[in-house]
Amino acid sequence: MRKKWIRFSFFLALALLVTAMAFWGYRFAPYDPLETDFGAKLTPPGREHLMGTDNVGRDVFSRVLWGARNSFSLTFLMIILVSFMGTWIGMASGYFGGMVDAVLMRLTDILLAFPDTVFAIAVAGLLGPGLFNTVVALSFVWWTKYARLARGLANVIKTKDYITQARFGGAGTMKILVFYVLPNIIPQAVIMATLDVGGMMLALAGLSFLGLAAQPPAPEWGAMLYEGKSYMQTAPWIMIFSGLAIFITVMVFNLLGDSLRDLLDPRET
Amino acid sequence: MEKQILKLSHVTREFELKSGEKLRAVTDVSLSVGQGEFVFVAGESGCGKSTLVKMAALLEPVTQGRILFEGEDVTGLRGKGLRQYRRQVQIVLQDPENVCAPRMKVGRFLMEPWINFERKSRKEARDMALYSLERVGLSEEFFHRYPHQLSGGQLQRVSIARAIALHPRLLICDEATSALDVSVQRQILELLKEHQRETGYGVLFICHDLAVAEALGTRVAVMYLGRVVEIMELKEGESLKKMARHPYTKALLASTLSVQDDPEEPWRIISGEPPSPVRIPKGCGFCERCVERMERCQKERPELGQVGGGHWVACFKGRESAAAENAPFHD
Repeated sequence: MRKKWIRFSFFLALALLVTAMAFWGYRFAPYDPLETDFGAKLTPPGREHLMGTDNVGRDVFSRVLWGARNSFSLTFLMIILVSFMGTWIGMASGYFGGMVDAVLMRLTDILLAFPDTVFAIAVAGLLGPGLFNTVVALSFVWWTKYARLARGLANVIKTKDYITQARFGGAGTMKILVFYVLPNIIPQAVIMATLDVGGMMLALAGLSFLGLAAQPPAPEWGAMLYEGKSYMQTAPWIMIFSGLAIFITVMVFNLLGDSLRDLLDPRET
Repeated sequence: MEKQILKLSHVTREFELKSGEKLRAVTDVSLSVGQGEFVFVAGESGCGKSTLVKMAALLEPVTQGRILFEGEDVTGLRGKGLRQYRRQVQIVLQDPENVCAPRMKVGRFLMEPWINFERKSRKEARDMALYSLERVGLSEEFFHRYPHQLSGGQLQRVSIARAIALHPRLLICDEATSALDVSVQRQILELLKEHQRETGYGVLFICHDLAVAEALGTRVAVMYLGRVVEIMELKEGESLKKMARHPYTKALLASTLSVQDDPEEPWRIISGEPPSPVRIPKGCGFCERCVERMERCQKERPELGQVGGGHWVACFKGRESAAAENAPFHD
């Protein structure tokens, strides 16, 4: 147990560090992330530009620091929104069964039938470009997998003896959902959410690239990744550093999720 | 007869299969549990005994018949009434591993009924939970443990501790000891008996071990293919082997191995499987496997008939032989 706490604390500290970087890191940016300098375009990393410059001479380091804010806050907001929504819908669906289940699950079937990103693009396109609309568009398609997960688990949990026992212990439906069903779904949902950080970041990046989320000059990791793609052979640093930022973030949160799962599962002591 | 707590009156449970056929798990069963009684329901797996107790616990709807609790009809009870019923009727289930929610500590599990039913504060509930632990002979340290840290026997004690916490009128045990070691089984049963003496609850106990039924039961009902085929009232010192009239009961008794078995005597093991509950035969359900079957058994189903004080049997031969034995006394 102690060892797990140490592991968890370590990754939590790392995650907090990354988060802090995302929110205050821009103060350390040496250049304006939007300032172009055609004289210094595609400069390799060096003393002047720590991570080099991109195709219009913007400092990559500054852009990575500034981009963290956009990528991060949006990703987290989305994950929290989507996992909360999906878990509750799925749990209700699985626990009550019958009509509730039929309606909710057909709805998720419909949404799952479309490729996520394409559907999100369609929704974002309908609502018009902008960050808020992106949030709406992505949450609209993304909750389904949490719902599926929660439904499957709730379906199994509701037949367990301890639910019967809970009824005989006088627990009402709401209490059973919150105290008996939900605690057995949360660990799985948390793992899924941490694994989702990467996917969500990339989805946001995809939409940014298409001009539907973060608008072009604004720095955003995913958008930078896409922008740098065309210069992969001549100026790989644009992609390397924005990719590395995504990689580190995703990694830290995955490991945090893992250690959290170990901590939450009392059985593997 | 002592005060009746639970009375099942001609209950039937049918399940509709996807094919449209009807499966009759329980057919026309009447059974009662009185105050301070220990009623055992025995039978092979699939005979409908679990469905029967589920109906008694109102976990399963009744297709036909009525359930009376202390004289009141509780069939199909819902909402508030059902909650009130569950305050007075508690269950102890078979698999101790699954009884406590895996992420809920034992102490919290025991506090639940006090918080939910009695609206006690956390502190009061805590004291009550500690007292509950004491009642079943577990020390305070178990309060902070997770269920997976306890053995099967300890968990079953915890389960019983919660079941008896609010002084229920009736305890329904669904094979509550089947998953436990023999020595632990004994302790659990003693525990139930001991608290019964204190509070006088009735116990409806499902069990396929007739030896247990003989040791503790005041009445034993044997089920076969959804019906009760024999009910025996047990008096102190009487053995089931001597009482049993129904060939199925006899066969069940013969198939339980005992230390005192005579190794010379050949074993009488029931052959074959019970008929499918989807196509219940017209005659006696047991006649295909019965060693004493007559022609009549295939055409006509024997009804339960009284053959002695508190002893009923659904078998033509059993009733005849009883009548023959008792005849001299009636003359």
